[in-house]
Amino acid sequence: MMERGTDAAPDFDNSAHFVQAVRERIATVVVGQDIVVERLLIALFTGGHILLQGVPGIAKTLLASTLAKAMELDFARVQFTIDLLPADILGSEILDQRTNEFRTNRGPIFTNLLLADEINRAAPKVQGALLEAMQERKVTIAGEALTLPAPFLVIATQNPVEQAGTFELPEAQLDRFMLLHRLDYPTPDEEREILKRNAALGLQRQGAGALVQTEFDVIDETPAGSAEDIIQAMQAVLSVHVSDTFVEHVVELVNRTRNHPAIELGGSPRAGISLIKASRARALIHGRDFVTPEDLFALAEDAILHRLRLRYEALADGLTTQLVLQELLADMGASPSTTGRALPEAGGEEDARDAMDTPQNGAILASDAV
Amino acid sequence: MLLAHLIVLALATGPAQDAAAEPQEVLSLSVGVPHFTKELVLPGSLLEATPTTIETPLILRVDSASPHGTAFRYDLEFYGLDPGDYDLTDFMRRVNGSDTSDLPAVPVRVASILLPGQIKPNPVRNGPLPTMGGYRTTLWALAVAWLLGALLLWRGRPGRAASGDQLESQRAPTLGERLLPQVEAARAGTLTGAERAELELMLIAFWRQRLELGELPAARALEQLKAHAEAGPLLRQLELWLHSPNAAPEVDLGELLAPYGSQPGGSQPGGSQPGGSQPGGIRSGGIQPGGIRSGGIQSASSPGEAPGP
Repeated sequence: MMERGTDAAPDFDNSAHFVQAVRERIATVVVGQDIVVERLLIALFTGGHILLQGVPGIAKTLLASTLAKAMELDFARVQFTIDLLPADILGSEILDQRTNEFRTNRGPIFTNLLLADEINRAAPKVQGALLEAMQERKVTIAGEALTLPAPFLVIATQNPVEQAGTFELPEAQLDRFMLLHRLDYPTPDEEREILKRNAALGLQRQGAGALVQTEFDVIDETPAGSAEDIIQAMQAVLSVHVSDTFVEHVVELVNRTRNHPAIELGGSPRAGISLIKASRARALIHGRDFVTPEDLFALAEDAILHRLRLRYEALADGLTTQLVLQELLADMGASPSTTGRALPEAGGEEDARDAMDTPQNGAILASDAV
Repeated sequence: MLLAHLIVLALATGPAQDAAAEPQEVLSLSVGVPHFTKELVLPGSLLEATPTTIETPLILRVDSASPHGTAFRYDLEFYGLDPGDYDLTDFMRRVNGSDTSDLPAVPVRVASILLPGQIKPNPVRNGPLPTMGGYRTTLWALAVAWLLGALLLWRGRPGRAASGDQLESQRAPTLGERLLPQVEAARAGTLTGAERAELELMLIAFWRQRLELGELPAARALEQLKAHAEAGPLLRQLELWLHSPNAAPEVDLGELLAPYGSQPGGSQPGGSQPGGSQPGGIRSGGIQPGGIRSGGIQSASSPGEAPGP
């Protein structure tokens, strides 16, 4: 077994309580969206980034803001527009006229939780700058490399409609997002609750006047956990057991995406890595210390779908990546395996497991390729 | 002769003149070149063109005829097909069928401008046969031919041509057929890691088919399977066996695989009884629920798997 490099074993119970407390705190402000909250926590605990795709008005910003406050994280929001410049996000060096010296003005990316709203509205060079910073977790301004705060989570959003005047993210850049989650409208019951809660909002005095309260005004400022809790949860995620059988499942699924006749571009190795990382975090959130096929099936769409590209013929036939992926998932087990290889024997298995273990001892917040 | 000359002269000058009063000239024509003669007065009752045959050397048509005293005045059109000297009146007859011998001759000379023997007539060839039955019959014939072709293709397809044994060998194994040997191997403890993974997916697919959850997305289907009274506990045991780190549950493999002894289209796996063998270090006993255990995963190791993190 590989050395963990930490003195104490991860406290699964504490992490489970912390996750539950955060979810409950968010639930006091945001109705429903349990899956989205789960995906955000997965991204946060695994050091990935998440792209939310959904129509406006389904509490994406409120959710991110509530999550940041519940975890005592810095939060910044950038509305991406066509005229946005990389320096508007990353920062720039400006001349201080009092001292006659240049000083670095850090951009909004220097935060723990960045909401990049409508990322596809910005020019490709802005998207590229953000995605590069997401991957490297550092920004270079005037030759000086500045490390981004830890934890660092980018929640990007894009609207699936109104594509005029947008710059669609290419597959290579989409691949940098660990998860792409497609948001749904709330259920009728949830919608009733949303409306009731909104109707119950009152006025908030401000100076000599008053403002109508919004949901943002009722967010509890008291954090439900600390940075230490997040670190423990991240540590616990890394300790979640990934069986060789599960690795086989992931290899099988990714391999099937590469061999499906309707798919031109299948899942990359990064897709498999993302799927396993996300499955570990989901297992923790669901109170397990080992991953199961349930995690794989639940996360396959979010982890793999945005990395696939269909052939022209399949598109002409009206197929979507979602349909093809569901077909692949349903076909797993029902048809013979496509990988056709056996696992290595005892020693090899250990090697395989070692590969799953992530170096820690201070490296848990280091740059991650996903 | 004089009368004929007079008629020819009348043809040349155009205005209506009495054929008997004019000197007659022979009109010369080339083969095939039509000529029009107007206001030709011929005595007697009304005349018409004689019906032609394939051998008629000169074709004549009466364009119009109008009374002219006791005679009639004619506009004629004619052309010669064979060289020679002809009398136009030979190609006319009385409408009332009376004799035409009283008619004056109207001579015409048809000459060929080509040298004799220069043109040889084309040989007579057989013309195209008439289409049998017409368009509708043709369509029916095409439809029948298409159906016959499709029938031949259907009958001749590879799967049909194969014999029963070949068919059996070519058919992809069903889920049940693939599952049985895997279950047997699991009982015997000889499954490799990849085979264990395939077994798990096959069992999920098996329950999905059995409970008719094929229409649901995979994640939803698995949720429902887990909640099912029969499938749920078995799948949870399977998860514990295959995914939980070593220190975790002890799974009765015989009990776990017992429901898969008889599969659709398959026979009982030979030699194995539910609850029988417990290979591969899997021990009989109670199944502890999975879940978070305080500090319990550090030194996990399971058969066929390296220790957990």
